[in-house]
Amino acid sequence: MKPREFWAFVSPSVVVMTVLMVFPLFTTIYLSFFNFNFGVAPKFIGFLNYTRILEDSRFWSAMQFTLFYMAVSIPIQILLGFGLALILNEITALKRFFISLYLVPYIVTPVVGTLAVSWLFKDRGFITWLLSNIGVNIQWYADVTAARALLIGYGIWGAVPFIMLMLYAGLQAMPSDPIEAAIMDGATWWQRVRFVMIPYLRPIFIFIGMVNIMDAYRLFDSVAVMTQGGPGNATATIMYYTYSVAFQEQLLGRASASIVLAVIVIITLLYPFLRQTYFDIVGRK
Amino acid sequence: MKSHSRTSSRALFLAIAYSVLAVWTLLAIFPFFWTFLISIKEVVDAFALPPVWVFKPTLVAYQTLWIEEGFSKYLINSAIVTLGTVTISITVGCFAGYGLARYNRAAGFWILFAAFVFRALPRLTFLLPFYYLARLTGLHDTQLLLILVLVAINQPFTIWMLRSFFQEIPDSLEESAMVDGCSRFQAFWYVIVPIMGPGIVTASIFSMLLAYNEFLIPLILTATNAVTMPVAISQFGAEDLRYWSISAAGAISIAIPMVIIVLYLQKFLIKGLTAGAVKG
Repeated sequence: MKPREFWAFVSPSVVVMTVLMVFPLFTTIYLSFFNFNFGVAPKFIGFLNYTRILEDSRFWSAMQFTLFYMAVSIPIQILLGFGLALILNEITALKRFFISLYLVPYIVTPVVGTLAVSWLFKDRGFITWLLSNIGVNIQWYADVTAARALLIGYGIWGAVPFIMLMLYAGLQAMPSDPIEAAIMDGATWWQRVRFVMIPYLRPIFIFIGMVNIMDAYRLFDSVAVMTQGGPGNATATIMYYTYSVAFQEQLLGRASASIVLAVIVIITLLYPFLRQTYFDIVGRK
Repeated sequence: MKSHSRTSSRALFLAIAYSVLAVWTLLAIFPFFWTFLISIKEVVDAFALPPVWVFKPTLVAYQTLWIEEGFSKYLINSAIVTLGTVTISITVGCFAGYGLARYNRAAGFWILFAAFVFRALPRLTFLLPFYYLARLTGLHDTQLLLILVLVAINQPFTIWMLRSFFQEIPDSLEESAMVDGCSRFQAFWYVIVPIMGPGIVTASIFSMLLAYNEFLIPLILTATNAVTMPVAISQFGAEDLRYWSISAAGAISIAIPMVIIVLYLQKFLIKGLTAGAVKG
């Protein structure tokens, strides 16, 4: 393809991304140096927004909870998703039936899933009641640990279908020769999983890890609908904190500084993946 | 003897396997089943403890939702925004995906890499300036603004996915068409796009889910006119039990169309889930 043809084909997409993503990104960075609210003329204040954010204990606790949420939920959801994918790969009967049902939490709007789960755990909710019958009394939305566990559990519940399907499809696409060779050599099931399947699925695991880091880091919907960051500030994530600064306190400049800091953190976390992708695509030429 | 023990260990494996699958089925479906029950119970029964299992179903909550609360307005907004986003992002994405699949120089790779970085950034990075500029220009609270922002947010993922589908189509197809006198664009439009059907459906499903399910973008960029269903339902009264029944009816109403469409097209969805990962 000639360069002229190439630019003709990609220009609409490049224009959309430049106007609607590159420009806002730089505007956000620019605004983070201003005292900037509605009805007030923006005033340059240097790094003051950044120092205010870094002095705010809510920022640190939100960052801490976000990273904790990622550290706990991502390994568990990958393990569960892989386990289910292995099982689906072994069975024959009812396979499509299970896959269809498991797709439902992935398809349904997160706000709807959050509401559906949150009702079960209200003080008059079904699961709270079931647990109280066996002597376990938990106020899920008033107790810090319980509220955090609920959000993490919900996150795992919502992420497992995607992981399971990706790994299942990977297993299905796997050539049968190496597995048969391993069986001939007397490998146990676990040895086949460990030394044949996991190495084969490695690129999919990396992809899943990357997408899960991106998605867990921007956790907002379930916090906003289920706990509103409470009790106190215990379940506020970095996105929820930034949203509150921007729209409850109406401090747009300070919120911009918060999001710039958040971007620096996520780019650092994703650095190994970005480097890998860079070499895969740019380096390949 | 040996084969006998292998058969019985296989039977044990299957017993465990199906029990695990059954437990996960219960976990995956039960919250929605319970929500459905709340939505068709009288308010007194819906939150009675112990739960009422035998009751006369009622559609009062649905009636209140669709008639008194005017939920159809939000459905129309969601439908317009979803259709608009899918149409524009797939059209723009097809051109770019094709160009990127057929061009092997640095510029193409840089665009892909930049798109990948944008995929990693939180939505709020872009939303704060949009919110401010939209309030200044009067675009705030319009469906058009939602469509534009969703198209942009959706673009990185769309071009990556469509590019991988276009790469599966051999170059020889459009080259022979161009030898026969087609221009590059005609070859793309009349030869390549028609055989891309399944890939376009797959990419459309993902755009559709993204636009229909999005919460943060309409939460920030709408106020009354352009509010979509997920935002509307999140704002029904919190403590009044009567509103929980209406919310439940709303939750079921939002879920049903998408579950039907996507389960019907699920082979395309599964194809798309594998495409991204296996090919990088």
